[in-house]
Amino acid sequence: MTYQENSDNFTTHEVTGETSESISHTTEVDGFVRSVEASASEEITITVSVGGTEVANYIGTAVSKGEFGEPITEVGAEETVEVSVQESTDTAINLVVDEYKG
Amino acid sequence: MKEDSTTISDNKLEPEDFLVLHFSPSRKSQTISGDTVRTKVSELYFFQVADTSEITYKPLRIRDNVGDEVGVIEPGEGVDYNQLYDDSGNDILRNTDDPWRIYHYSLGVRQSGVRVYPRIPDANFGGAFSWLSGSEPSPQNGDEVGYVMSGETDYEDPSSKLEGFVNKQDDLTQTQFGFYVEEGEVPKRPILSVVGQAYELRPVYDKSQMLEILADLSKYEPQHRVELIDYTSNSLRTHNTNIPDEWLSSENTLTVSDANTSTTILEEIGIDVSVDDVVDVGGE
Repeated sequence: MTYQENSDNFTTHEVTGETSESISHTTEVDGFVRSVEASASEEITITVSVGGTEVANYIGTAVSKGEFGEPITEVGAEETVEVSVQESTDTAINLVVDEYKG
Repeated sequence: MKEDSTTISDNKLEPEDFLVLHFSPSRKSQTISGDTVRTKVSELYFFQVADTSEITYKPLRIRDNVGDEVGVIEPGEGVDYNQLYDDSGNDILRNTDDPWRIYHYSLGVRQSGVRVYPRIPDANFGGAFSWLSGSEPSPQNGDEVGYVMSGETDYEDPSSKLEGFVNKQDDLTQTQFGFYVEEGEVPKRPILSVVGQAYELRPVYDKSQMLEILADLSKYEPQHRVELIDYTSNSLRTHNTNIPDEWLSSENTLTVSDANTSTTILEEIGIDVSVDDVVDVGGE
């Protein structure tokens, strides 16, 4: 997995949601799931899936995973990244996907 | 294929620099030590750069000859050899107008994990690498030979490993590229770049100057800046090359072999050598 630390190479897509929503982004070009963030009033389970396959899950009331240079996972072109939350109450979630710029 | 790590910008020429285009090799009869043998003989064409301009085409997608994008390549799959086309189906490296203008370029890929297979098709012109058409590397199968990894190239300033030139042709450019996404990678929609220079050239037709230029190629401190670019590196095939009539008329060429060139250059730069073993170079 190569993730060049140069934002000029990538187009950034950010998706946000609230409460019991799941949020998703379908890529046009391959790239990386840069980060997932969530906050809730109670402990929640956050699941990250790519193309229907779970690639990561986190538990907590304040989750902040991944950053530029240390992404969560690589994602192919024309694939759907989904972040879902179980047992959610007053939840805010955020997904950032970087796709190669073209 | 070159094994260095230089980029296309490292090899950029400036006005007044010299350019030698190397078309290699054809087979000709040659007399060495009294015996006539068929051996490889190269054609070198000599130019001085009159003017330069940058050429950049990015982002470039992999498209077919009607301009439709190939799209996503799954891991373990590839795309067969083809020219580089724009969205209208035009060969972007075509050079059909001016015999004294050439493109000196290389190809970059933004993503890692993509193999680039260059070739010159088995046709009247060219013929790259040492494989016959039936056994040349297949991009679609991901053959383990004949490619440059995209990680070795750089999108903004591509490696010279895929360096090439295009002179005036009557039809499509001869160099084609195939692509393959390695196993274990995610599906990729490659983003390509073509980066280099266009040179306006004038011929060098004085033989002694041509030999001086050749000698400069091997000097630590050359008198002139010279770049030599291969048209068909590593080719073992007999082939024809598409030389503009204007070059032939200007007589800016040397036909050379290992047997006669090095000795002639040494003589030209004033080093006395024995020529006992080098007798003659004859036509086919």
